[in-house]
Order: sequence, then C-alpha cells, then structure tokens
Amino acid sequence: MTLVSILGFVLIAVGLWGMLTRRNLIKIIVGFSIMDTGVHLVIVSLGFIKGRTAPIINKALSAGDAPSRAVDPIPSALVLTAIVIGLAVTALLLSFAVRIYREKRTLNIDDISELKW
Amino acid sequence: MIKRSLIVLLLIVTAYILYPLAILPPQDNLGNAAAAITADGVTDLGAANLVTSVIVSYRGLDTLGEVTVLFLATAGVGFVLFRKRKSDTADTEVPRQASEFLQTGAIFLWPYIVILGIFIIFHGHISPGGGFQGGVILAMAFLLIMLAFPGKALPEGFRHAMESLSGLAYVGIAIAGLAIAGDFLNTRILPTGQTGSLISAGAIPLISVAIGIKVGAEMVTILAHLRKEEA
Repeated sequence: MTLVSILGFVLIAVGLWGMLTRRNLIKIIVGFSIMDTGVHLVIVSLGFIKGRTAPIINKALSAGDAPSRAVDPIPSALVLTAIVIGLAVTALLLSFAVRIYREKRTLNIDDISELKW
Repeated sequence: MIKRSLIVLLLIVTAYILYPLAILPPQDNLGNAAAAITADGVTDLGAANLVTSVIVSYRGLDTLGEVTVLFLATAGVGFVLFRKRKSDTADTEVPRQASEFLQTGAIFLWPYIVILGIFIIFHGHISPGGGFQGGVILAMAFLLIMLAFPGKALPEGFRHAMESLSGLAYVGIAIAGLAIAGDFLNTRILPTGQTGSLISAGAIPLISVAIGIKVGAEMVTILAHLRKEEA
C-alpha cells in the first residue's frame, strides 16, 4: 500500500462518515465530494509503479522505453473521466439541495420527513 | 440507536469490500492492456500523450458515454431548478454591481484565461491536458465575467448551439472513423504525422476541440442555472 492509497482510503472513510452522520444537506454533499476525491486517489495509486514516470512520450522518455519506464495510463484516463462525472453529479446534488430549500425553507434532513420510514 | 448501528454496519461492509484492494501487492510491471498501449500506442495513433490516446481513442466510447452523462446532468440541473417566471419584477430588478477590483481584474484576466484554455485543448495529444481540462478552464473564464458583470452571460441560444454542434461533431468524427478506417471512433482517418508536433495524431486534436467546446458549454450552462437561482 502506498501513501497515496492510504490517504485515499482515509478520505473515503471520512467522506462516508460525513455523508452518514451529518444532518445538513450541504455537509452531506461535501462528504460526497471528499469520498469522490478518495476514490480518485485510490484508482490513481493502483496504476502507479514505483520509480516510473508519466506516460507521455518526449525527449526524456522515448517510445521504445515507454513499456519499461512509464506508469499505467489506463487508471489516469479513468480518473480523468471520474473527475468530470463527479463534478456533474455534485452540480446535480447541489441543485437538488437548492430545490429542497426553495420548497421547505430548510436544509436539515430531520425536517424533511416525507421519506421517513 | 438503530440509525447508529446501521451506520456502523455500513462502514464495516464498506471496509470489507475495500479490503482486497488495500492488500493488493505493489505492481512491478504493467498489466497486459497497459503494456500493449504503451508499446504500440505511439506507432498506432501518433499521440505523444498516452493518457489522451486511451481517453480519445482506445476507450473513446467511454468518453462519448461520459459526455452524454455530463449532458444529462446539465439537463437535470436545468430541469430541477426550472421555475416559471412569476412576473417581470424579478427580471427588471438590477443586480448589485461587483466591485471595481473584480471588474477590472476580470477584463484584464479574461483573454489570458481563454488563451490558456485553448492552448490546453490544442496540446492535449502532446502534453498533459486535453478537451476536459481546457473546456473547464474556458468555462472559468466565462464564470469570471458572470461574477464581475451580473446579468451579462453567454446568450442561452449560443450556448445550446455550441453544445449541440460540438456533440454532433464528436459523433460525426466517430462515424467517419467507422466509414473510412473501419472502427467506430478510429482516429486514423487523418494522417498521424510527426509524433510530438502540434498537427499530428490523426483526428485526436479534432475530438479534443469538440470535447473542449462541449464541456465548456455544459459547465457554463450549469453555472448560469445556479447563478440565476441566486439572483
């Protein structure tokens, strides 16, 4: 386990804890964002190989050297995708929060009792 | 009490799911797919940035899906925040002016931010960057204008036109790949050129431009919806 992946797991735990225990919708969305960042760190660290460099061919890394000296490009590409999706989902969550505030004049989920079982 | 124990239970289940990932031994070599991409990617596609090769070409279908998700999220934001105009009072109300510092700074910085965004979009295949990153930077330039001059935003029709046309261009290039080179999203419909030069890597820069405009337009639309809500 690398330092980055440990940090990623810590962020996932913090974000999940925040999402589950906070009562304010904005704080829940912040928790989601923290967890999202943790997931990105874990995915990036999965593709990292100690001592290797970024998979970009230039003077410092010739095309022939790439398989032996570059890290895995696939997790990086996946994380780039995941960041944009995370942004879109966060925007959607925030607009739900805005809508709920407009209807109920509250962001505390204890006051929103329609979905309670 | 029942809430608390459910939360603890959920955390334990999550830890159990993530545990195999945590004890994964560190890698010494690339996996099969990664080895193939790093070995043949440059000769195949001519793009110096292998991450861009994966995003735009090898896993281009995922990117197309992702752009669709982004579009859906934008449409969702617009749908959720939609509000019927009650009267004209809300529109005629003049929003508070931004401070002079913000206005002057926005006018000064705007061209540089736009140039940086365009640079990053066009250099996605030879250096870190690409359509997504550059598109977000372009959107930030317009956010700055929206903050400094409330009421001034990109016209809605223009945004929707850019969004639709860039999406159409992306799908058009993908279908051209199917027609000319034999695969959906095959970027070798144009010559791959000299790796590392600006005009190289086949259709990858064109797709980057399409993605950049689309992401920028979507972001500005999301920000404009949220901004309208606040005003």
